[in-house]
Amino acid sequence: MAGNLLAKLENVTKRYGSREGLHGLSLELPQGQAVGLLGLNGAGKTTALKLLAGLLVPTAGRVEVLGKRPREARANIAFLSESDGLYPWLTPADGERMMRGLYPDFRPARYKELLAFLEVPARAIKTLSKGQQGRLRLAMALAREAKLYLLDEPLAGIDLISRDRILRALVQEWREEATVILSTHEVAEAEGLFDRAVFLKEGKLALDAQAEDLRSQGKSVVDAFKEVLA
Amino acid sequence: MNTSVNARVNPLPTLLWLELRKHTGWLMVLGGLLALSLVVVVRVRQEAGGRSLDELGELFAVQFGLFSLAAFAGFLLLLIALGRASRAETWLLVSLPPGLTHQLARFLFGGAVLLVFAEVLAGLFWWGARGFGLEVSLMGMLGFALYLVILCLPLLALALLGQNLTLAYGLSRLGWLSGIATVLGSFALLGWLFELSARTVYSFLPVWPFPALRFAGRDLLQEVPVTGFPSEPLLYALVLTALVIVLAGRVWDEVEA
Repeated sequence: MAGNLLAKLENVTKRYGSREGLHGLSLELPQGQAVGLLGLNGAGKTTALKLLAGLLVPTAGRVEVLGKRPREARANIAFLSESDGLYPWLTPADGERMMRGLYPDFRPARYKELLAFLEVPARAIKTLSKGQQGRLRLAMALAREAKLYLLDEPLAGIDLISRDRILRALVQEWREEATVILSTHEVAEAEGLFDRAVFLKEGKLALDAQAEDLRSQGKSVVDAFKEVLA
Repeated sequence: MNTSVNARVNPLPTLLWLELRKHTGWLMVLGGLLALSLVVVVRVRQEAGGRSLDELGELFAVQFGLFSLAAFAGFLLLLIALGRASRAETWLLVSLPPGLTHQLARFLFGGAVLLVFAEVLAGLFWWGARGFGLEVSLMGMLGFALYLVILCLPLLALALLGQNLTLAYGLSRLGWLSGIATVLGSFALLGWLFELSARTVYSFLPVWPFPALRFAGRDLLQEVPVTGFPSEPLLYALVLTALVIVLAGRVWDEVEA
């Protein structure tokens, strides 16, 4: 399933003042791969995603997406943030107008399908629950025709029923030419989605394994996660 | 691989529309101020009939004072609206347009609202003045409103910059220092601009003509030694505005990129 190299991090370190968010992280991300970026809070997951999105600049090392600096490849990157991206006074229909006017690869028909599938109510965003807002963010990100989808904690703070819908939406969206990197704590629920599991611990790469290899060793991603944390 | 998608959309109309949606409530307040001003003009015009010259002068002074107050309140409201908007502001989901486009949209929207507000107020003033028999040139009044709006543009741009800095870096802990430095720096900058304007007035640009003002057939500006306002401060205001907007765009890029 995995194809040509789509993005890479080469010995990347990111410092926030005296604190180190990531240390010497190297990853190669081929086209058409679903990568689970796993780790506890503060492990460096969001930092790694923001570096790939071009929202952060590495303190040391190199980040490339489609052979370019991430900022130059932004037209091909869809980023789902845990908190940003929604103006509270807009409705999901307004969101369509906004996305259509700002992102050339936005697919309105797909967005409408996703809104219906994810059961996002058609009312002002500020009146939606956290779960509904999370689903709306996901619909906005997945309705783009991107090469690289960076999904930062799409399941965080979302009820069980919404999680199920989000996971099903993600599975529906899997396309061979796109690479999806999903960071989550909800390892057990998202396990079936990953081709590959990347574990971060205290800003460092703790384990990088193909899900298939883990399964052939009789381990689940959850088992591997527990081993890394131990 | 499609890397040329940027060229296919023009984000400015969408960003302007977002501004309109963001500020609908404030626009209604500004509309209310204009409606109040209209009521004042209508009432004063009704009262003006058959009054003595002294009484007319008093009425005119009251109307002029109220209009100045409305103009000041409207401008202040706009600045507060821009500042408060940052509370509900958000970074987009990896925004494709550069920071300058975002700031330009915000500035164009704020500037257009300010201009429309000022021009309507100027039009009302012109109509009210006619009620006293004061002949003011309509085009001159509209031009005078435009002159004042251009002078206010640096403040609008500084409000945008402040909004960006607050959103980007917050005002907690050491952020307060940068906030205070920005405010003090703004005052210093405006003070310097004022001094520069005062030193160079009427020196190298043609004047911005006064609105013609006649009462009972007499030109009220006949004895004024100059024929218009100096245009040099407008030039400085526009240059400063452009610099501040570029800086605000850089702040956006710095945080969003």
